[in-house]
Amino acid sequence: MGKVLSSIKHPFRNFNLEDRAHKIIGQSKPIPAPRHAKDEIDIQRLKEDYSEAFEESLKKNEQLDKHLKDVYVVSNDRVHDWKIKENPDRPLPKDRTQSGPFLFGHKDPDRVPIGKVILKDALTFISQHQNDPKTHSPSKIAEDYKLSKETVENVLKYYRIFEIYLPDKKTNAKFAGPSIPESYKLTSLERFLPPPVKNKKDES
Amino acid sequence: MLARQIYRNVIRYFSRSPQYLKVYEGEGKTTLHIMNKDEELGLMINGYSQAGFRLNNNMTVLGPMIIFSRSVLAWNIDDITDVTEDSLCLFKILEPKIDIIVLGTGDKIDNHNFFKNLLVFSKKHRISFEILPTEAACPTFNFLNAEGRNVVGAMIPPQTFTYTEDDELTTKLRYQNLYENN
Repeated sequence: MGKVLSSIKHPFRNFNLEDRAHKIIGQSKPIPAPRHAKDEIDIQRLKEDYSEAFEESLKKNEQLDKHLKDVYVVSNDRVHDWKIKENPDRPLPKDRTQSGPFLFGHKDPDRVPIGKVILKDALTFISQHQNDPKTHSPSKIAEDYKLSKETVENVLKYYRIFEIYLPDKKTNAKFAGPSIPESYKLTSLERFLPPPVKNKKDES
Repeated sequence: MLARQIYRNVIRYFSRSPQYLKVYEGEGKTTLHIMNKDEELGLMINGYSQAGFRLNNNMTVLGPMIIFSRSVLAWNIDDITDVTEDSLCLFKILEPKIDIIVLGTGDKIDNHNFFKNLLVFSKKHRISFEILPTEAACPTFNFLNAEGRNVVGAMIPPQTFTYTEDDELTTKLRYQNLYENN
């Protein structure tokens, strides 16, 4: 709405606009805009009061002009050797291919500190101990993998490999239960049992 | 045995999120990606029950378990009171160091005394913990694993949990005893 009213108010505002603009731009020195009447009075008064200073300002000051010409700035780039020396012990990676899928989801470290173990080794010794506790005793595992015996005992106590049980063909589900000894005594039902017999093998 | 299906939550997440509603482009153009069915992302927990957990490789694991990104171990403990420095000893010797342990405490617990032991362990070995009821811990583990973090889930099966009729139906369908009363 504002635009419509404005075009009615100033019908020739944009008439021959480009030519008029070029005419103003084409001038060698721009004509300053007229001052406000009050400012004009002030400036006239100043000119009269400080006429010497005003005339001085119109002249070219040779001294200052010389100073300006003498100033000269030079910039020199200092050449740096930015290239970092490569540490031969820890070379930077050069292979840009994507690292492949890993068996345990992450890349195993090249060097394992003493007292630490990679997941693969941990799973190995847990399963070895379960299959054959005598040959793979905690002390032997601790020695082989450079771990403390106490830690190995705790690991073997609290962590087990799963045994897989596959049910009959009727169901689709598969079961994996924690490995437990095949025969074990139910302590709650012990009191119902007859007194122990010498040949224990038959009982189990 | 009723198992709560977790990946249903994932579907809900995608379908309800307003961000995804905006980009809906009509039938045949929208795709749904179920994280648990992507085998490349690693081992994930599909469901849980009082007896154990169902993983996304069609295995049912009985009892408390330690789940790594691509392997699973049995955890020989009874309940949350057994979670001590000794029963977490495997994590302090593993190399590379574990980023985070998602501890599923089973049911929601009010007695937080066991935190004292964990805090000492956590500070000593600089391993962070995410302690949640198992219902919340399972999806947390799934998402963290999908992100490719070096995450370990230490899960204890919950004794009480909520389930829907849909969960009940899927469980019955799985064991093919839809018309039996149990």
